[in-house]
Formats: sequence, C-alpha cells, structure tokens
Amino acid sequence: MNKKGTGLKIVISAVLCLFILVVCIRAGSVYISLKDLFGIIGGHLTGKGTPEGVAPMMDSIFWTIRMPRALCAFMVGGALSISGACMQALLQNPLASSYTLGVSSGASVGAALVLVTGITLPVFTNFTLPFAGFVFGLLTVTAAILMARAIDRSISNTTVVLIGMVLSLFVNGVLNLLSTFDDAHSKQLYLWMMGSFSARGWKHCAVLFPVCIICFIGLMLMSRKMDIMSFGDLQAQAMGVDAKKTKIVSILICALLTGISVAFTGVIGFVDLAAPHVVRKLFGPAHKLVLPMSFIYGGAFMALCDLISRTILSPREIPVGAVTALIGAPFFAYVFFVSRRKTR
Amino acid sequence: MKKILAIIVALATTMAFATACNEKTDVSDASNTEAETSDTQASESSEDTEATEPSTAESDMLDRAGNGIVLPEKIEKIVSMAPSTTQVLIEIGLADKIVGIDTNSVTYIADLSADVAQFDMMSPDNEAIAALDPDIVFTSGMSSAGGTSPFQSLIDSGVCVADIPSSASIADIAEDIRFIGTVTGKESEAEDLVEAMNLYISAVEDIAKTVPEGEKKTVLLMMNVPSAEFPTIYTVGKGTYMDEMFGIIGAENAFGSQEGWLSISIEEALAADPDVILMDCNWMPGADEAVKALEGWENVTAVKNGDVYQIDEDLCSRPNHHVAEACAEWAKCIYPDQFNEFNMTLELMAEAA
Repeated sequence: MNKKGTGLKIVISAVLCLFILVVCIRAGSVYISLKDLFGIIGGHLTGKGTPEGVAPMMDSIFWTIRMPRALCAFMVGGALSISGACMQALLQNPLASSYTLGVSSGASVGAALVLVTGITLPVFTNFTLPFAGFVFGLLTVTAAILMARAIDRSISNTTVVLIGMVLSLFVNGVLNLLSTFDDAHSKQLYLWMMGSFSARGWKHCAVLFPVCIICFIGLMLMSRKMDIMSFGDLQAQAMGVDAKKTKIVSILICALLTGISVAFTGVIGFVDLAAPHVVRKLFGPAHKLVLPMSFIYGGAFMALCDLISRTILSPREIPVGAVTALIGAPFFAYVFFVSRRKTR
Repeated sequence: MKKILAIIVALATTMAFATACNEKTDVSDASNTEAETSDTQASESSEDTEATEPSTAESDMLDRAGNGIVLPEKIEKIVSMAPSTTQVLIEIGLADKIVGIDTNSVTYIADLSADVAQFDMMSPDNEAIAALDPDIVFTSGMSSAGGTSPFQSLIDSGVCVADIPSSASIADIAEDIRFIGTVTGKESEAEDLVEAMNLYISAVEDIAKTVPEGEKKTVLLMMNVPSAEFPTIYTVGKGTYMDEMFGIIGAENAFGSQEGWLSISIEEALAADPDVILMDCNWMPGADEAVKALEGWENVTAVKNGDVYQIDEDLCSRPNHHVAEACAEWAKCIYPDQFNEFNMTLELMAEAA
C-alpha cells in the first residue's frame, strides 16, 4: 500500500465521520436547517450566544440535548473500539474484545453496585461511577485472562468465546440478583444491561473527553510494541520488547476505557469487535493507524446506532445495545467462521 | 400379537381416564349450579336460563361497549371495577349495594361498607368475584387495554358484566352516567349528575370567554416526568375528553393537532414551547418541581415563568361528571386572573338545578 493512498483514505474517513456526526446531531423528531444548526454551534463555540432568528428552544434542543448525546455516543464508540483493537493485539485473537470477554458486563456490576449502595468517592464525586467501572472492568479482565491461560496457553477462539460466555452469564446473574433485591433501581439496572445514551449531557462528555484523550495518547505511544506483540510474546521478547510490562499497562488502559464507557452508558456489545476488523481490512495491521482509525470508525458507528435507537420507534427509544447487537452478532459469527476455516 | 394387546390396553386406560375426568367436571358443575341457585332465590329464573343455555340467552339491552347483557330482575349486589363508576354509584345512592371494588377505588372506601372486597382491575380474581354472587359487575376500558377482557371467564359463567369503555368525549361520559343510572334503576339521580356537570361546564365556559383573544395560552399536559430510563412523555391529543376540556377552558392543547392518547419525545415537547405545563401524575409528588429542574427545559416559557402545576389526577383521569371540576382546577392554573374568584362546586350546581 502506498503512502498517498493511505493519506487519501484517512482524509475520506475523517470527512465521512464528520458528516455522520452532523447527520446524527441534525436528525431527530424536531427539524432544523443546516444554517441554523451551524449558527447555534458557532454561537456557542465563539461565545457569541444564539444567533438572531433562531428560537431559544432550538438552542436548548440542539446544544443541550442532541449534541452532547451524539458526541457522547461517538466517544464511547471510539473508546470501546480502541480497547477492542488493543485486546485483539495483546491476546493475538480476532474474537477478543471487552464485550466478548465479559469485561463490559463486569464493569457494569461495579457501576450497578455504586448505584444500588449509593457509595461515592470522597473528593471526585463525578468520577465515582467511572472509577467503579474501571476497577470492576480490571478485575474481570484479569479473571478472564487468568482463566484463559488456565485452559490453554495459546488462547484459541473457542477459549475466548467460552470465557466470555461464562463471565457474562455469571455477571448477568449478579445483576439480576441486584435488581431483585433493589426494586427501586431495577429498571435502571435492566437498561444498563442493554446500554442507552438517553439524557447524556455535557457533564458526561466532560469526563469522557479527557479520559479518551489520555488513554489514546498512552496507547499510541505503545503502538509500535503492539505491532510486534501481535506475533506472540516470544517473538516480542526476542525483539527486545518488555512484553509483560506493555501488556499490563495496555490492559490497564483498556479496562479504564471500557469501564468509563460502561459506567456512563451500560453494556454495549460488538462495536469493540467489529470496528478494528473493518479498519484492519482498510488500513492494514499497523497499530499507529489501526488505533486512531478504530476510534473514528467505532465512534461514527456508535453515533449512527444511537440515531437509529432514538428515531426508529420514535418517540420510544430502543436500547442502543440492541441495535449494535443486531448488526454486530452476525459479524461476530462471520469472523468466527472465517478464522476457523483458516486454521483448518 | 402382544403389541396389539398392549395398544388396546393403553387405549382402554386412556379412555377410562378421559371419561372419568368428564364425569368429574360434570359433577362439580352440577354442584356449583346447585349452590348458586340455593344462594340466590331472588334471581332464580334468570340464573337457570343462563346456566342451561348461556349462548342463546336473549339479551335485554346493550352495554356501553355494545355487548348484549341480561339484567337480573333486582340489583342488590354490585361490583365496580373502575373508580369513575364507583364514584357515580356512590353519588346516585348505591354505596350500600357495592360488595366489590377495584383497588383504585379505595379512594372512596370511607363511603363503602367496611367488608367490601377489592380486586385488581387488570388481572381480577374472577372466581372470587363470582363467589360474591354479584347481580351486576361494571367493568371499564382500562381493564381490556390489552385487547382481551380479563373478565371473560366471569362473563362465560353467566354473571351480568356491563362494560363501560373509556369515553372519548364529555357527551359520552354523560351517556356512561345515564347508562349506570338506567341499569341500576336510578335514572333520575343519574340525570341530575349529568345536568350538574353540564351546568358547571357552561359556567366555566362563560368565564373562559372573558379571556382576551391575544392572551390565549398553549398548554402541555404531561402524565409523567421524562427520565434517562424513560425518555418518553405521555400526553393527550384531539379526540379525547381531556382535549375537549382545553376547549372549554379556552386554552390550546400543545398537541391538539395529533389524534388520541399520545407519547411524544422530549424534543417535541420542547419544540412546542408551552406557556403552561400541567402535571397529571398523582403517583409522583413534586413532579412540577422535577420538570422545572430538567436539563434543557430552562428556555420553555412555562418553566421560565414558573407555570408548571401539579393537578389532581383523580379528578380529571376518572371519566365521570367530576371532570367538570377538573376543568375549573386546570383553568385556575392557566388563567388565574379570570378564574381566581370561581368557587363553584358540583353540589351547588345540583341544588341550582
């Protein structure tokens, strides 16, 4: 692949992603002209306020409700996708991702416990939920990898699927138990199992944005090492990469990305699996491209799924996890069968 | 040969079982009808005809849903499965004849006898209702919201079940009240209630006419506070008696252009920009304050001016003559200047009539 072609593809992808974001902000049960929409966004960004001739209600609808929601969906989709790309590299397995390994479900238990018990962190109250998601995500990912190792050292596809199934079923059981004991939150917990961006505002974006940026930079710094580690731990050691350290740091970052996404929106599956695969098909396996492109593609995909979830049965919303699952589950099966055929 | 024998034996045993079962049910049926007839000597004749040939029984009249019903000669025991009906029955002087109510009717328990039975209107215990041996059971459209009546087995058992579907207009509500009166032999009392309601409504209309044309307000009625878990808002459109109430008060229903009972998105509610918001949800105290605190609603005229009010759900959501009073309650929230002095009650109206 030549450099020029790749550059063009990146530009096209970025433009496409911006276009999708605008569509997601604009589409919905209330109509707005493009001019008014950009007027509102421009007004807020430049600090001039709502331009003349735009109803203040439009400002509320688009700036306070729809835009943070679309951005939130974009960031969560991006965060899940880079963590998926990272896990696939670390475990050298095309089916590995936070969702398929049950890490998302694990993180949701942490968030659910916070919700039910009402515990908050002493100083950073706003960060209680993402923190709990992070801790429980980390616990589950450790459990998942330890279990996988115990079954077979090479971590085959079947093992990943098996582990994911066991962990997800167990965690769903815990969530069901929690919602039985705590009637008041049962509806909230139920929605959590499927994920939703409903009523997500700027305050969620304000937490998501810095975490995404920091994690993204952290992973980008390790992209070269990830390339090498895709060949296996032994090769990596031989080429002078401290495989163990890289693995621990990147797993920490993945757990943080998954934990924060799940804590804010619930368990959303398959983006983290699908986006990196599509990106690798288009841009090749080098992680310095796979990571940022996974973020863009995963984000745009998630924003689109959220658009579907809030418009297709409007005014009712369907959980966004249901939308991603409808698209993602067949994709998962496809990857599974293709990689099986290859190994035979 | 052995096989054939085995099959014959098997067939014979199943046949024996089947017939045994049939006999059993026959016996229990017979004992049931016996018990019923001995219990209700008063309505023996009608009971008999229904028990023997329920499908071909001649119906005396139609209920409000258009189903033929056979009225017993005398009505001594009434079961009411809707609060609106319970209220009407009490006010036409039949409180002492009510033997069973739905759980929502407990608001009026003070007027009823202490040992009145209570049932869930969505999944009623039909056997327990039948055991009360009622002469008539009033049901409502709320129960059959799913499409099938949960009272079907009661109807099949021959109990007189009179259905009153949810009325879409105030004229229909008046017909519902008259129907209850006719069925229970209290025609004139029911007519008085209807007359009081109509007088009351025209009194409200007269005041509403004094609201200047330019000051007409747009009102949004909300039956819930939207949340992250449930971002949909329930409201009313045209073709409902509540929309008609807005017309009586001289206010504009924010979603009057759409048909029926509606669910709308938060964005649609904001885009409608109502002048006043009425919260029709008694189950959530403080709903008015909750709406004022919603993120993104600060630009809505009603929120800006603090014109979000909690109204009495029991008054407006139970379709009977008391919706007239609900009109006045709403009007006081929407046009306080014009309606502050209005202190009419339905009783006063009834006396005037």
